[in-house]
Amino acid sequence: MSIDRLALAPVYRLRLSAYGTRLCPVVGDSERVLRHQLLARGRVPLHAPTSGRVRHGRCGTMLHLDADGADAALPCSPLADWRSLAPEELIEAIGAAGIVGLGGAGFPAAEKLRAGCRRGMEVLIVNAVECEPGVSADTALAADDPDAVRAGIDALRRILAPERTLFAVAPDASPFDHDAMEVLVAPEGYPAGFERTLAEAAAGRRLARGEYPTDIGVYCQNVSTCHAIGAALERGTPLVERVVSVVRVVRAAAPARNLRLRAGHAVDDLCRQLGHHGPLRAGGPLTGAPLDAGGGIDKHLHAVTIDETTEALPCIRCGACAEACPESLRAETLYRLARAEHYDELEAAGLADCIECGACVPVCPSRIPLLDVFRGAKAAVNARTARRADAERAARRFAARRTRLDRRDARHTARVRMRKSRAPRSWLDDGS
Amino acid sequence: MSIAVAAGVMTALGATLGALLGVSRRRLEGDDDALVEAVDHCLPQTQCAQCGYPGCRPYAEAIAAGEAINLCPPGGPDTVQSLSELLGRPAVALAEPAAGPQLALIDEQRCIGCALCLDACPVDAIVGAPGYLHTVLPGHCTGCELCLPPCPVDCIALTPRAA
Repeated sequence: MSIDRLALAPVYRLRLSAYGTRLCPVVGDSERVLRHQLLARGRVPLHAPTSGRVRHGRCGTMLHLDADGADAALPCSPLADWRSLAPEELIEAIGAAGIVGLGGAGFPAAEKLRAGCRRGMEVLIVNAVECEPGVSADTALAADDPDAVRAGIDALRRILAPERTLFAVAPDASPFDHDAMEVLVAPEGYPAGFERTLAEAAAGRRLARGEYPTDIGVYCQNVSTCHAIGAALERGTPLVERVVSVVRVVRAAAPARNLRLRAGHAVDDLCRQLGHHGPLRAGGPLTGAPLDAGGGIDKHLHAVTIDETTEALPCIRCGACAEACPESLRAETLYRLARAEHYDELEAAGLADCIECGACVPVCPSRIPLLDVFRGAKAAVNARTARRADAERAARRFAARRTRLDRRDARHTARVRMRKSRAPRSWLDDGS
Repeated sequence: MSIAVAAGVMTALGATLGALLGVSRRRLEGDDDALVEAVDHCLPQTQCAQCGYPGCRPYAEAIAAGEAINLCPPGGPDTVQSLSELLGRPAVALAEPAAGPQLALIDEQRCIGCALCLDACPVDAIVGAPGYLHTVLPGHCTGCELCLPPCPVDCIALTPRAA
């Protein structure tokens, strides 16, 4: 499985508002930087994907890097003697390298490791099951650079000290030399690569709603993330590049192409180099969300999809979507309610339990973009909940004001009565 | 003969059940208050009187008694939808178009500190005192517009609020 490399993009666009927070740039406007140089601090540090000149975006939400083409790198040195460091020091190093989960969700790796250490993990699962059909980024990278992967796994074992380490593979995967690690063959079908599915397979039971794998002592880390951790410790390189699968969804699906892409690669340049002139989706054929042509790809993006399917037809209530749903949701009901904007019923029907895996999308005979509809409905429900909370607050303040005014009136009445009872009788008083 | 018996039994059964229904309807009257509460919960609580009623609670009581559900512009189409779902009445377009979420802003250069707007605000979102600068607390302002008429120097403006 070969991994291609595209030409460097002329500009790299890196988001500063990410991970629910704002990253703080440490480089000024027009400053020259080298590859691997620290660009911003915050919840997940951001490093330069190539050498060039930095431009600050207008609203402080984006950093633009105009590549100079030389791709000169800051010299990186491995973390000395990392195999004998304490877990917290390893976690610090992983956090400083800006590593996030590369399985698709992009959760900060250092935070997950700290939480795992606090709780105490029994099982470590190295996830080499590709999360979506058509994507082969993980297996390609594991085959290409197994040394870094092994180093990363060793680091995780040192940090978490699990009792068992499992190497999860897809049922039809080619064998990876996993140093006699115990192999966990993932269940057939989609979404086998999701950490919930693997944790359930390892634990032998279903997770309850709201229960995470770490709650039952199972720590799942994607194999590409292990590679990033290993590279950071063994070679000192922060996370600026990863393997991305380009999946084509046409009448006849073609095998995916794997590319080494730097973080922030301009989306319009990516489309140009791929020879594609339509919309590009971030993610695989099932979970893909539309990519803004004026932006750059996120550093944790595992795949991009070129989607050329046709327009949607009306829903025929066949129920195929409900059958496909791994969370056993009544997908056709959710779709009907979402389209009708019946948000109260939508909440009651369990929209919040949708894990946005997109399994309902390819089975729909009418080619309805169900995942987009559910994502939009979730946003609308959240906005509504926020408005309701505001209304509750306003109602409380209104009631409190009423109380205050009533008390003021009562005091006033009492004062008037008291004054009247004390006042001397006027000479006009007739004595009544 | 058996037909007569069957007919008699069915009539007696019908009469008994009918009587039971009539009695229980009178004894177990629905809680009107609960309906008004539920309707009030759907309303945005701006107390602005744009619906023609002096507050959200009076409008809720009117709706429970049969008033139209599309008279609340601050609630927007979302409120009409909620009320339609709750009461089983058709969701119609708003009688007056919604202006979107708004925030009152006092022009500090023009404010004379007369304190007339403080009393006008139904949720006490304006802080100040006579002779001192008044200001609107953005977190509490519902955009109800009740502070605009009392201001003698017209220094309050409504601005669209970022959602």
